[in-house]
Amino acid sequence: MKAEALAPALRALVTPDSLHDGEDRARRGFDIEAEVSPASIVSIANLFAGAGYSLECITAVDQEDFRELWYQFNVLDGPPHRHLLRMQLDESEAVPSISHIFGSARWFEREAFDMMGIQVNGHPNLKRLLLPEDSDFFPLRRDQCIDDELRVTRAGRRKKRLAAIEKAKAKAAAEAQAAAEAAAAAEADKGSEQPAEEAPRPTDSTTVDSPAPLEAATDDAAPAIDSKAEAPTQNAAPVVKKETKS
Amino acid sequence: MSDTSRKLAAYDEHPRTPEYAELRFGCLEPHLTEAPDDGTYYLNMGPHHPSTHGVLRLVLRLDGEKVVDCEPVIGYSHRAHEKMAERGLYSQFLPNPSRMDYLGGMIYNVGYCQAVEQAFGIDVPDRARWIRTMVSEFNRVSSHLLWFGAFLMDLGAFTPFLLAFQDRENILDLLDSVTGSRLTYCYANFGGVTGDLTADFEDKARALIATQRKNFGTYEKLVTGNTIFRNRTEGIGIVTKDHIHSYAMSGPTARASGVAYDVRRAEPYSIYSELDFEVPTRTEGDCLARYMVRFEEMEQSLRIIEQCLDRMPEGPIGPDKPMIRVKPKPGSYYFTCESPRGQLGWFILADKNPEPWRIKARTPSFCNLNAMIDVLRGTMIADTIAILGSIDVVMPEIDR
Repeated sequence: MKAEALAPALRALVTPDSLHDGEDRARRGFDIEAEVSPASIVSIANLFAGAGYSLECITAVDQEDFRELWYQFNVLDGPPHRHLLRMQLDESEAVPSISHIFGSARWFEREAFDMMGIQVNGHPNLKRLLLPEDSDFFPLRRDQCIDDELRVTRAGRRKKRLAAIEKAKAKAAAEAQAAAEAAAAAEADKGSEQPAEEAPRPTDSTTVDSPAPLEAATDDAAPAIDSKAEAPTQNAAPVVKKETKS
Repeated sequence: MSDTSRKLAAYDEHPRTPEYAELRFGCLEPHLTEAPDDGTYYLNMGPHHPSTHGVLRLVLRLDGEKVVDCEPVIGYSHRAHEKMAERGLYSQFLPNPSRMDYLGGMIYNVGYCQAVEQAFGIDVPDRARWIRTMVSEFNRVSSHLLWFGAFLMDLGAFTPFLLAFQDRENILDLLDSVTGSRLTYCYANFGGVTGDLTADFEDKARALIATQRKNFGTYEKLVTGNTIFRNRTEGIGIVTKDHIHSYAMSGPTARASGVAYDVRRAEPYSIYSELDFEVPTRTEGDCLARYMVRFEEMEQSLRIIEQCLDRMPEGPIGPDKPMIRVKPKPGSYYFTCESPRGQLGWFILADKNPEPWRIKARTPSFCNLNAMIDVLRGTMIADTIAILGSIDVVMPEIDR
C-alpha cells in the first residue's frame, strides 16, 4: 500500500479533523501529524504494519496535567514518509500494547513505563528497562527534579502559569457578566424592539464562563501550558467586541 | 539492601537451578521462566564479559550449547541525559550528546546542533557545514576502525586490533588538533563550529587518507580472505528483512540485510545532497555481510572527506560570539542523521521557555539490540559473541 493510499484509512481511525500535513517538513522533520485515542492505536498499528511502515520511536512526554505518547512511523524501504501520532493520556490511564505488531515497541513501551510510569496493557514483559527493578520513582516526570533550586524555579513557574490561567478565567467571567448585564440593561431599555437579535448573547457568554483547559490544550501540538494561559483571553475577546458594537 | 539481595544472601542452593535464576533475575520473559525442567539451564553473560563491549548483560537459556532464549539486561550506564536536557538551556546540553555515544561523539554533537538549528531557523555558514561534514566522516572511520579491531578480537584474532588502533590513533590526533578533544567532542555549536581548521590540516588529512587506503589493502589480505574468519562469520547470525522492519533496525546492520536505508541518502541533511558517494548494500544479512558493509563504508567516508578537502569554501565558521540563548519556537520537531550505527533521531518538544520541554534521543543501537532477542534464538553460544560483535553495540548510547 502506498503512503497516499493510507491517508483515507488513517483519517477514519484518528480523532476527527486532527489529521493534517505537518507544515514545513524541512523544518519539522515529519510529513503528517494526527491525534489518536488509546482505543484506536492497535488498529492504526496494524494499518501501518500492513503498509510496510516501521515503528521508529515512541516518546513519552509529561505535560504536568496529563501525559502524552508520540508514536512515530516511517518507511525504511523507499522514500521516507514519517508520521507523528500524538496520544493524550490521563494520570493513570493505560494504553494497549502494540508489541505483538512491532518488535521495536517491546522496549519503547518498557522505556515509557520505566521513565514516565505509563501502564501498558498486554505487554508480555512490562518491567523496568534502564532502572533497577526495585526503584520506586519515575525519573522523567516533571515533578522529579535533580536539584532543589530547579524544583523551586519549576514550582514557581507552574504557580505563575496557574495564577495567569486563574486571572484570565476571572477576567473572562467578569467580562461575560458585564456583557450579560449590559445586554439585560439594553433589553430593558429598548423593550421589545429587537428581541430576536439579542437572544444568542447569553449562550455566548456561558461558553466563555467555563473554558476547559484540557480542550484548549488539544488544539495545538505545542506544549499546552502557554496556549492554556492564552485560551480564555482569546475566548473573551469577541465578547468585548460585541459589547462595543452594541 | 534491596529485597532481592536479601533473599539472595539467604539462598544457599546451587546457582544454576531455575529457582535461583528466578530469584536472581526477577521476572524474566514469561517463556524464560516456564518449564525449565527440560534439561535447559541459564547462563549469565556479562555485564563484565569482555565481548559485550561495555556493560551489557545477557541472560541466556541454553540447551547444551544452543541458545533457546535470551534476554538482554541493560541500563548499567544510564545517566539520565534526557533529564539533564530539561534542566538547562539548549546550549547547556551541547556537551552531553557526545557522551552518549563515545565512538561517534562528533556525529552526535553535530546532529544535536543541526536539530536545534533546523527547528529554530539558525543559519550556518557554508564553511562550517563543510567542516562539520568532514570531521563527522573522520569520526565515522575511527568508529568503524575500533569496531573492526574489537570484532576481530572477539573472534580470537589479536593482530588486527593493534593495527586498527594505530590507525584510529592517527585520526584522533588529527581531530584533536582541530577540536581540542579526543573522544567526547563539543566542537559544533549553534550556528557553526568553535574553531577553524589548522594551516597544515589539509596536508595531514591527505597523507592520512593515503596511509589509510594502503592499510585497508593490508586488512583485506590479512582478514577478509582468512578461512577461520570466514568460517566464523559466513551464514552466522542471519538478520532477515522482517527483523529490520519489525524492529526498525538501521545503519550497516540494515544495509547488510538488503534494506538500503541510509539517512544521508534518504533524507539528505547538511551538504550530503551535493556529495558523491555510494551506499554499500548486501543481501545476505550474516556477520560477514555486516563486516563487508562497514569495510566498504570506510572507503566511502574517505571519498567524502576528499571531496570536502577539494571543495572547502572560504568564509566565516560561525557567529561572532557563541549563541548561548536560542529563541525557541513552540512546537514539535524531529531531526535525523546517520550515526556509525544507524539512524540517530532527535525529538525536540519546545515551548517558549529557553529550556527544552523534552528532548528524546532515538538511538540506533537501542533498536538493533532489541532485535537480538529474535536473532540469537537457535544459534550456538560461541556465535553469540560473533553476532553481538557484528551489530556493533555501544552501551552508553542505549542506556543514555
